[in-house]
Amino acid sequence: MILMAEGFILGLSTGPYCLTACAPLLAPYLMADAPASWKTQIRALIEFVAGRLTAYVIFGLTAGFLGKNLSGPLSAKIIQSALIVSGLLMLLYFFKKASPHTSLCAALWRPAWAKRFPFVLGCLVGINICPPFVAGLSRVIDIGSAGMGMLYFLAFFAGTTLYLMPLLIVLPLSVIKRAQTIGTLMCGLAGLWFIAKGLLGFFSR
Amino acid sequence: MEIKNNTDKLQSIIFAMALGVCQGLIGFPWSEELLLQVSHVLWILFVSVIGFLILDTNRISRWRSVFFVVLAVFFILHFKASLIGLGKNPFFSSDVQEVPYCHIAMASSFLNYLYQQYLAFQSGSWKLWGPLSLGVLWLAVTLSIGRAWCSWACFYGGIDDGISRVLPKPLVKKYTFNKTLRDLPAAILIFMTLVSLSAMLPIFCLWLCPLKITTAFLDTHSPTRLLQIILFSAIGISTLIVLPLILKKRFFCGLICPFGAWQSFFGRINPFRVAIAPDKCTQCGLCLKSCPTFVLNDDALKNHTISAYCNLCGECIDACPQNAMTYTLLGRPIHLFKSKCLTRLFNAKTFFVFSCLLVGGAVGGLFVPPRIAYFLEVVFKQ
Repeated sequence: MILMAEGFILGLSTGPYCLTACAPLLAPYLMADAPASWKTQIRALIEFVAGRLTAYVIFGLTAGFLGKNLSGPLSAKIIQSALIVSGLLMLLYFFKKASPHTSLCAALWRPAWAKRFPFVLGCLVGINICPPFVAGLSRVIDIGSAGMGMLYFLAFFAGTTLYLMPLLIVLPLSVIKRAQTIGTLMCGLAGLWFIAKGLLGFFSR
Repeated sequence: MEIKNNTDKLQSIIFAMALGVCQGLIGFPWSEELLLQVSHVLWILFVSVIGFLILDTNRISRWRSVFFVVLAVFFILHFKASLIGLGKNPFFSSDVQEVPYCHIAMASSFLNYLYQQYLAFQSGSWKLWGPLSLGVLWLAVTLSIGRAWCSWACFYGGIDDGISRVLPKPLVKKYTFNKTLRDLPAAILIFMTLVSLSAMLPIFCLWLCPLKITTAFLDTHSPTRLLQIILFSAIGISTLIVLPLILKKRFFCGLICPFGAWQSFFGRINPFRVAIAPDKCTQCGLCLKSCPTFVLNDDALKNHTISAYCNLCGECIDACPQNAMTYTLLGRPIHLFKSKCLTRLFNAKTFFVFSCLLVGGAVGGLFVPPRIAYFLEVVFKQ
């Protein structure tokens, strides 16, 4: 119980950072997506949050299970890879929005995962280089128990998710045509930025 | 005819003199040394002459660009030369070697500034409230000239404006331009604001802004630094030099600069606009071709509407053979007096030009006179 409270408080105290880490990926996506209704948009946000939850649970379990064996360089590589994949996905989404009829775009966008894009994005953002996440990770490695690790990260997730709510203000914007255009362009920029960030992370080690 | 011309000239002289007097009242350094005072007088004279020429020749953008390019050249000269010890330190303090007020940095790191202000308030030290005072300055400028900052007072804008005027005709005349790209500055602004807050660093300045070559010398000590320099050099060479040169368009200002997007959003609070008179417009498209910042397009011309991205440079007004385009106050040309003579002096255009040259002159007054003073000192010493 104390461990869960610790995870929750860590999430609450560092949540604003989670917002700033998620916003560059989630805000362009929400702006670019032209929804049939607000419900669709809110569902996308819920999927994104569920993606984060899944990532946290998996990471919590793995980190707790592996304990000290999960070395710094290994986790760093996973984080950099997640950044690059997030960037590639955002670029793909940008091309899908900018030129949806291109055959390559259509082919890449067909698989089932593409229909759950916000969930996949949430998973990848969940293992992003957010410092609170790294702080939580090091704590779980110290604990060295899979179950405890999962609970710790569940509580951490609950603490941080509150801070994602301000992103809901983007939703009304997405009905404006110009905001969609700007959001689409932002997706392209986000793609390039996260790929560059991930690659730099690899090379700087 | 002769009498009419003389009256027009007289009005232009009155306009220029009023401009000069206001310039003097705003920033004349009464307590400084003689050389600096002489330099200020020269600068005020220059601004007044530009005002006179605009009114006398009715060629707005031609003379505006002369003023604008001079502003940019002196800005580069002042900061670059000061960095190698030629002249006084241009920075506010020797500890912080940054441009005293870079509007582009402020816009793309806006959330960081807000956060810093929150910390400053928490600390209780008023000395840390600098960005707030800069915010007041920005508000004053925006209320005075709004979006016109980008074509009349920005000390960087003269670079691509000047280069786009080097060749008499564009080297490439036929090309397709995707209209959605006009929203790229807004996308850059919002995205950079978010990632800057995330990284707690001015990301646009570090990675993309080629304009910092005007104010700093850059080291290549780390691979990241080298990559940053390669990236913003590529952006600088392409959007500030090559593309403006061959297409005669202001690429950086039109398609990259996040402050342009910022100002086009907040600049709406300013009443000055460019408007098309539907009864005069023949849809010849000359304004569309002349627009240097990709603001006008076929749809806009058909509907006689001007996008919020317009920075009121006056290029389309100069190009229009029907005089269908004009400066207005909230869409109205404003004629305060019935007399034609007074109308020429008191209308939306003269109010606008007066405000812009006053603000641009005040901005230039911060770095042009000190540089002139330095040159004068060198000449007189020899």
